[in-house]
Amino acid sequence: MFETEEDLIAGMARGRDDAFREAITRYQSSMKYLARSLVGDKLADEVVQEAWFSALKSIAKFERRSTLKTWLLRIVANEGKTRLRKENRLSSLDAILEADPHFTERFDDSGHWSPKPGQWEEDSPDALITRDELRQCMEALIAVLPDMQSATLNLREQQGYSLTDICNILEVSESNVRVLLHRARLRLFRCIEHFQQTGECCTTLR
Amino acid sequence: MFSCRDICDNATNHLEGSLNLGQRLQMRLHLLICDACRRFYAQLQLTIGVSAKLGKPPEPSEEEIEAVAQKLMPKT
Repeated sequence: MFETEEDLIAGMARGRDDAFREAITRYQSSMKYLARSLVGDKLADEVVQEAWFSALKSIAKFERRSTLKTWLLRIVANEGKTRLRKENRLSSLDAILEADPHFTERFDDSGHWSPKPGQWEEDSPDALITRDELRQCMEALIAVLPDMQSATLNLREQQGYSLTDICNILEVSESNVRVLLHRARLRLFRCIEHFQQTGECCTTLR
Repeated sequence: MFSCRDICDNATNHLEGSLNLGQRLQMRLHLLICDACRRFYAQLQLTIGVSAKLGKPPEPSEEEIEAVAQKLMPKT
């Protein structure tokens, strides 16, 4: 029915029921996935629904500077941030961009590792996540990462977006996206490292 | 010369292809001579691999699609 994206956009712009239904079928899952990382499970459905209302209102003005999916995700991010801001929960970007104190203390004055990273028992992602405790621990950690870190991780690692697309979706500069991503990665690295050393979950770590 | 701390700070930049030629050479040179950083770099890539495997977007059910569509465009 809507063979090309252009057909679909045109159908949506005319307010066609079937076009929106098709768009929902295609993009709901990705939108909800992003919303969950940004605002949490409880609010995700509401935020996505709001995003669809916004999309319905503004699709006629969609300038096609990105794909339809990226445009929709940007609306989700916007709705999510607005929601968090209203509830005074949106974390300040400055605070998230600050260096992880663990990693500033992890090097001596001459910039050498102190202590050095230890060996891990598993040497593939598959082997690592077959350990249920670690898997659950990391899922719990991802759920409590600061909103924008979590959203960046979700878009890059789990949905495979390019940094440029992520800037566009989250409306932050590319250098900030890189820092957000790096902070999130280091946080998860520490979690695995801690688990390798102690066999315990890292959620008590700062 | 990049220190171990610089390697740690720039690992994501390197993986995402955002370093310039000079920085890339420094990175490679350091990784060539430093076991600890080589290990860290490999472990960070493992970490990324684990994140990628942790979650996948949930497929919405027919009911969910219907519910969203109904709210969006109430049947007239």
